[in-house]
Amino acid sequence: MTENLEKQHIEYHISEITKAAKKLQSVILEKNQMPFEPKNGNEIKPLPVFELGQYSLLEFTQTITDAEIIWPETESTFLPAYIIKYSVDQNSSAKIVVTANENYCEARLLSAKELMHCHIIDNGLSTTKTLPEVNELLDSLALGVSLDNQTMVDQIAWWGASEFLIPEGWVPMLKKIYDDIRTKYPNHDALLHMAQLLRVPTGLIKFKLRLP
Amino acid sequence: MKINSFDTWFNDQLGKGLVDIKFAVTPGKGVTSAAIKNELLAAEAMIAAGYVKGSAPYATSVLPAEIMEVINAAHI
Repeated sequence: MTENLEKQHIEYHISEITKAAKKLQSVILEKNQMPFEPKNGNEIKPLPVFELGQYSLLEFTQTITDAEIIWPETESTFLPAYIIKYSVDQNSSAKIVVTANENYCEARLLSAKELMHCHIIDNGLSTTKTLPEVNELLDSLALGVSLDNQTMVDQIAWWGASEFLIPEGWVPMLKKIYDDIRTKYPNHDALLHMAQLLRVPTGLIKFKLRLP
Repeated sequence: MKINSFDTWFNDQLGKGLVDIKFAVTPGKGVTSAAIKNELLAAEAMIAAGYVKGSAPYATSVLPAEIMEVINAAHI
């Protein structure tokens, strides 16, 4: 694939996952009676990913596939999460394993990223289902190189999760809260408080709020 | 339960109907394909042995009261 075609390919998939993430977000916001464009700070709550008692991304995903998230009592350095999809007799299922499950914010982002894989429709172009494909994918991920279909879909899933967890319509209110905290309590870590408010890692907030 | 090799485990999953697998990988020093596979096998062994948390992670920190006041007062 030429560089130009590859760029178009990536842009197309980013556009598709952004649309998919916004659609998922709309369902979750509506089901939980959360605002699309909050006007008051107290309307901001973390978007449910797997939390019980709220309509979560996991619950919605379970309407299309038999998805579960498993939290093993183990620690990992390099592999915080993975997803395995199965299909038996036309019944599909997805087993998501999150090993980095001590930090709530990180676990939410990782879970959202893996759940996004259940919502990416690419007619099987990016599937990893043979040992050579697994080895190729792991080498690419370990080295942080290449953008073949398999690694690209991973980047797309991260993008979808970030789009899902912080709705674009929330950004003006979030910026207002961030600025207010910094003005009134300059010695506080405003970014940390934003993470506590949204229950997502600080890096994601910096990215979405376009903070320096 | 000890799982001897990634290849054995993977072939077993194919037998169970695996159609796709994807990984979230933390880049950094020491990360290799073999290290990732070992961590996956360790996690799978824990799951097979039943060492699984009964509930999902939850928030352990709370926003300070004075910050909550700022949030609640914010309006656009």
